[in-house]
Amino acid sequence: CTKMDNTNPNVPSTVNPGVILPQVIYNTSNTLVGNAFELNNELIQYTCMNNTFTEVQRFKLLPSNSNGLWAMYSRMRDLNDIIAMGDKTTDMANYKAIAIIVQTYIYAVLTDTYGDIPFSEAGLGTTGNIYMPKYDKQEDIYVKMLENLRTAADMLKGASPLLYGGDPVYNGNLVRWQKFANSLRLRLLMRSSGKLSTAVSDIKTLLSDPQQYPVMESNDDNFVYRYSGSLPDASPLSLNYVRDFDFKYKSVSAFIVDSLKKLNDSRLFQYARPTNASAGTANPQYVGLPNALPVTESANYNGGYNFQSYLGTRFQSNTEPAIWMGFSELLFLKAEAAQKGYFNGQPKELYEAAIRASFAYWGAPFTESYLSQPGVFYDGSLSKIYLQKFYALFFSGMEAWNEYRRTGYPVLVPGPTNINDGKVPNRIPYPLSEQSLNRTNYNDAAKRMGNDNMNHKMWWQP
Amino acid sequence: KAQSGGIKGIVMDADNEPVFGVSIECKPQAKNEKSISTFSNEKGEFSFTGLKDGSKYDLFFSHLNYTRHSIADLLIKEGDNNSLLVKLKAVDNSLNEVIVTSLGITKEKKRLGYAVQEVKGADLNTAKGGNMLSGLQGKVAGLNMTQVSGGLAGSNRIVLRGESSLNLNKNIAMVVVDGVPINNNLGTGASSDLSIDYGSGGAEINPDDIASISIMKGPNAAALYGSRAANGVIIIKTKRAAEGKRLGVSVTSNTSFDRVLQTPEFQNEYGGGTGVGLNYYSYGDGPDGPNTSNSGHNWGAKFNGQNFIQYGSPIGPDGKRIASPWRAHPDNVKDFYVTGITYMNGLSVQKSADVANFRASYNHYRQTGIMPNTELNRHQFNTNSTIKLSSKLSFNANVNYINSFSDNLPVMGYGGASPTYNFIWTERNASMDWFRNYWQKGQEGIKQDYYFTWGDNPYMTMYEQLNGMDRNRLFGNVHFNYSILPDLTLMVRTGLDYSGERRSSQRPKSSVVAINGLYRRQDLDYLERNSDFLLSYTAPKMGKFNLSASAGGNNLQINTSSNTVTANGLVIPGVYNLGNASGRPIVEEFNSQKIVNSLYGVADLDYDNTFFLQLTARNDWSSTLPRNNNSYFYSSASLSALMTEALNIKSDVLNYWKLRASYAQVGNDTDPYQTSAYYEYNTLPGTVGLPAAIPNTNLKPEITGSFEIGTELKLLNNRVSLDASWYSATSKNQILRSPLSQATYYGSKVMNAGEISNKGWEMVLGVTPVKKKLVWDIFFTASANRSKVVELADGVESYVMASAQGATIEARVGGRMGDIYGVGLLRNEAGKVIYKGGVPVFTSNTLRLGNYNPDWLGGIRNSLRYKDWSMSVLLDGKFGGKIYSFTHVTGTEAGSLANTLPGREGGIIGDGVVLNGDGSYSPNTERVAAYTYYRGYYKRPNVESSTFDASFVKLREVILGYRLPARFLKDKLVQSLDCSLTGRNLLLFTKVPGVDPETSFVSGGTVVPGIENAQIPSTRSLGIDIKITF
Repeated sequence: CTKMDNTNPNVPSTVNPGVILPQVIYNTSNTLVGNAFELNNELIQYTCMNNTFTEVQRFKLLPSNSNGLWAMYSRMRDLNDIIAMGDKTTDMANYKAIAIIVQTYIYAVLTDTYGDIPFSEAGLGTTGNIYMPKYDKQEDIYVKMLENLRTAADMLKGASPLLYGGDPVYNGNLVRWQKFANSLRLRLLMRSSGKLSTAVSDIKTLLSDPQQYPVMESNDDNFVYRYSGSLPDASPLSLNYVRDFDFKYKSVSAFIVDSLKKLNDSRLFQYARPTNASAGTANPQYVGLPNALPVTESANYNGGYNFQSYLGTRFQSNTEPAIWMGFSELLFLKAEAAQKGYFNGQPKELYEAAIRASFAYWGAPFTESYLSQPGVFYDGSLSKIYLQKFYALFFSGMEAWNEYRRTGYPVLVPGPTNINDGKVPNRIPYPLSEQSLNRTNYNDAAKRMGNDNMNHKMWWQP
Repeated sequence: KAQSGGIKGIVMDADNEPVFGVSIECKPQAKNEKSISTFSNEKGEFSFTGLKDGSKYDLFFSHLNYTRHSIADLLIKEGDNNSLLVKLKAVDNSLNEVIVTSLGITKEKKRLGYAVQEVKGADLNTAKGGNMLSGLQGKVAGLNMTQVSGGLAGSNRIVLRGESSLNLNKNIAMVVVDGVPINNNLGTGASSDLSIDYGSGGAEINPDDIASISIMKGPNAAALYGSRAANGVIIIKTKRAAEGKRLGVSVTSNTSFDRVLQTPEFQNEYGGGTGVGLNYYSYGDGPDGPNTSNSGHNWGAKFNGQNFIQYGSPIGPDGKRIASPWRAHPDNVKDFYVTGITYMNGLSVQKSADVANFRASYNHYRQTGIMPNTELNRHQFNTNSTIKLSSKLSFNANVNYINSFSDNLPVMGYGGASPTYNFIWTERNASMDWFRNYWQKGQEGIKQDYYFTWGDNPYMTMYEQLNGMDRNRLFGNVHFNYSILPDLTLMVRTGLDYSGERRSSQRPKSSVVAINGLYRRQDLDYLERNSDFLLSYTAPKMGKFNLSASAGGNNLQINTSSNTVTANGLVIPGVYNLGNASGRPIVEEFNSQKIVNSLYGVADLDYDNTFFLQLTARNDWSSTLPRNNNSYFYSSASLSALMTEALNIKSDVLNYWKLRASYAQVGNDTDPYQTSAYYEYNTLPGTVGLPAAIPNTNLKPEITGSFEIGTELKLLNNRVSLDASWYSATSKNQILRSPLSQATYYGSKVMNAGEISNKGWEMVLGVTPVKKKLVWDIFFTASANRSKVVELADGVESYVMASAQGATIEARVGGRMGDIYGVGLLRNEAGKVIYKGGVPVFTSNTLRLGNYNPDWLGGIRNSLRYKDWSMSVLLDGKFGGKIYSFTHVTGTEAGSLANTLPGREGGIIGDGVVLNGDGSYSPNTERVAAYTYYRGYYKRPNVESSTFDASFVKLREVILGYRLPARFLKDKLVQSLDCSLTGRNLLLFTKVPGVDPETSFVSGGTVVPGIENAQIPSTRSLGIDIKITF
């Protein structure tokens, strides 16, 4: 008889990081696009459901809304694996640095959604037998995230090339990874600048020494995942994955449509498509649907669905990239920092460059006259920066919602059927699974988060 | 001159009733003369003529139900009328009944200390279905069957004595054919598509080849079959050549017709529309107003004879649709289904000789489904033959070859490519005729023509989205028996179950799930080989003690292999070949091997043929467990006592009384490759990642202990018989994937945990109220089971066993196995539903909404025989238990079902309360539109509102049979001719609206009871069955 062997012949037991990293970035990208589509865009009035299937636009946030976001924790498994490889072998230290950056990015998304989350005890199931990790305070997580980003960027300075490839974003250009790490650090520093005593001086240091701390310098430095378009490597919103009619359950919000129309902003034609009735005619109409109308009104708004605009067709294409962080966002952050005097920069130039970068990214025709109209012209007010940043952050994960909670811009008027007294929620409840699988720690954290309340503020919120 | 004489006579039974059909052989004592034979007629009369005066003859009387009788040395005298009155004694089944037990060994039933029930092949092969095992339903106490209603193949899930494992698939009874296990796994389709029932292993056996099926309900067979027998065993014995040296030929022909048993009850008063204030309908913009957006909802305008522009409206000369009458098409769903026809035609030949017996059969099975363009075919070959090579050595071969194939099997469940899904969302004003041409003109093969963008035209689904299958299967065994000494025999055997299957799925361009078309090929191999030996010894009699013992060993090897290649996107429409893939096809491959080696022994001891003790022991070594834990031992003991013998009771009232008790333990292993860490391939080609489950290098075997007691009684001259059992079992150390907080970065951990306690009873009652010319037998089975979750892993209070459409099947500590959880209606302390805005508020957490297991189940069969006529009627049912109907959820949401009619005009005030500002409650007074109310009350993911009492009674089987009387068969070429009209699943009585509570959700090879997910309707069938023997 044959040998009693229990070795799985189908799969490897050792691999190099080059075959792990691409799927982590791919899978995280899918979640980011999905979260933007389901949550961020609805909360922040980029889009609204034109039927009653979900209640996000009405701010009815349930633990089940967390399922996709919280599942990002499982991406950390493979990132931890890469980090462990880097600890073992010095020639994989560069992969370790990349893994830390990606991990920090994901942690930032998680903590900015929930506040306190498992961090210091997370991921210790196999090595530390911790199956119920405690929730750390957001403040402590921020300190650690900033430290990790600095370390990772340092590790990449002069690092040797990636031995095993597997970098689908920068194709092994480690300077760009450094730029991404520093840009992300700027994002987190700015977010925590109102609370973290060291943040402002760190921003100053970071932005004053481009040699030491390079940040994104053009749209080529954008951290976007570009789907090849060949299945399964296609945008999660493409027709392969989201049926056309499901996609069209969302109309573009009246708020963004009207705002862009007022400025003759050509990004509108990227973000939205003409109404069915006017498509292909000489005079295509772009009509947004106000958020959170009563069902009847929303179905009949402007004469029915045929007279409302859906999201731009590009978002249904196989190759629409997933935006993690772009050059224009970096410029807006710099503009804000300069305006606030955190570093020695020209806010107007940075602001205008940010707008140009955004138009360029979206492939929207740009004329300099756009900048001179009263609604855009830079007058030294932060609100202009915040508002333009809102237009630019379309479909960028949860970032527009994050910025809204930090800055209070744009000034949103929640729709008549909202169930939160006209307040945009500050957080999303933890998923149900935590209540059953990590109950004690969940209860502690929930208590700190106003009983897991969606109106409980983030630590960094003013 | 030799004169001729004769013998005549009459055959009677103990009640002095004539016995019909007794075979009588008249054997002359003189050499060179041939024996002659005849049968008794319905008056019990027989006669022989032309016998030699003065010669001596021996007469032999034989009949299945009577003991063999003989009259020797009968001297024929001319002139004497030689008239005989022969009294036959009924076979006393109670004492000599033999039953097939483990490893194909037959045993007298009285010796068994545990519950076994036998079903004769004749009870299964008249009203036949696609799955031979379906015939067991209602006939076996303690057997709980869940059907996959796919219209074809008819896979089912058979659970004996309730569920004891947290893994749904591990609760399924084992199937053994002629002593060797076979694969009875469910084969369903993989990946992103909806489920397809490719049939289960047991289903493919030709019912005409079955001699009998014994059902061993407890784990007592495990000592001989190993771990998989822990959930009971279905032991199938196939036919062998009967005694008698003539060539026996039998021909069977069965044709049956399937119709839909139950469709949802649709409303026919309102047509398409979302109800949101629009009182017209328009397919596309038109003179009535803009496009009303064809959403599949039926909350639109009332059918009042008005005209609207509809999808199927005639097209005018300007190419635009012209408004046509707004009316219901009440049969638009029924019109889609067709009559399914099943043909089964078989032939068998058999012959016995001194040194050999031979039987071979062939059966052809062809079924067309109730879904158009679906079919399933089988060629079934079997031979079961023995040859005595010497006085000590014999050889037997039992070989089955089955070729199953289909050009198209239907998809099941809720999704755009499923016609049943599309019917829920079909507008009541739609006619099936609108859809029969499913391509857009000029875009044939590229763009389907349908009035939704989110579902596939059901006719395109049936005629273009084909799911083919071709499976070649070989199973059976060969064995040698060698008598080393008169008391010592050795059996050596190898059994095999191999199947090689090729599946293909094709989806044309513009399919909702594959807009660029798709072609998938799957190659699946399964091989299970059992090689074993058994040494059996019978000790010399020691006073009143008898001892026999057997010892044996087994090597089990299971190899599986699957290859799936998917081409997402086709270059040239309509060409289904991997070479036509528009990108790199996605390839998945998995191979596994499992080996279990075992040694075991059985000892049987009896005292005075009255008390019987059996002891078994077994040790397994499994490749799936860590090397240091891979050996495990288990044992059993069972005791049977014939109280009528022990107490020397001889009574017409109490004919037979047996008591029995047994305890059995079973160890169990797991699937291969759970003990070390590996990477797994990620969705993104060319990449890998760590699996979500933390492997366990210290896994231990699972262990189940089961205790049962039972009694068997025969009363009132054997007119009443009763067999009842009570059992209690505990399963510990279950190998499961215990879920973890995702913050551990993992999803689960493979571990030993959990304890399930399982208690229940079952009984079989037989009564013969009339036993005259008319014989009336009543046969009643009933059983009840409660499986409780005593313990899960540390800190784990709930284990999700399955989930679908918002409902979960969860094991929770203190709960019952099979509990259904889901979001429900929020109630105040007084139990009133809380409303807000005119619709109910739902709970934020999930509630226990019922249990899919019935409180008890049973069947009752009445059999009547009168002369050449027979009739049998089987009713069976399940009582208690719940089912969650997703058809009801969505059908109500869509406004398609009749239950959404009340309140369409004038709205509805929901029965409940509203929360006041001060925290008190007052009755809900808010009147809302019907569509708001129903879509609110039944809104997903609320599971409670569409969870129903799944109790049902079914008229399961009706057989009206006629046997051609012997007087018409004088030429002796034809031995017998039976003709039957059969019906299966004729009537259903249930409170579940619109769906058969027996249907279940199927996902990735697992049948999930308790959840109905827009399944294909179950069928009722009527048929005719003819059996002729030559």
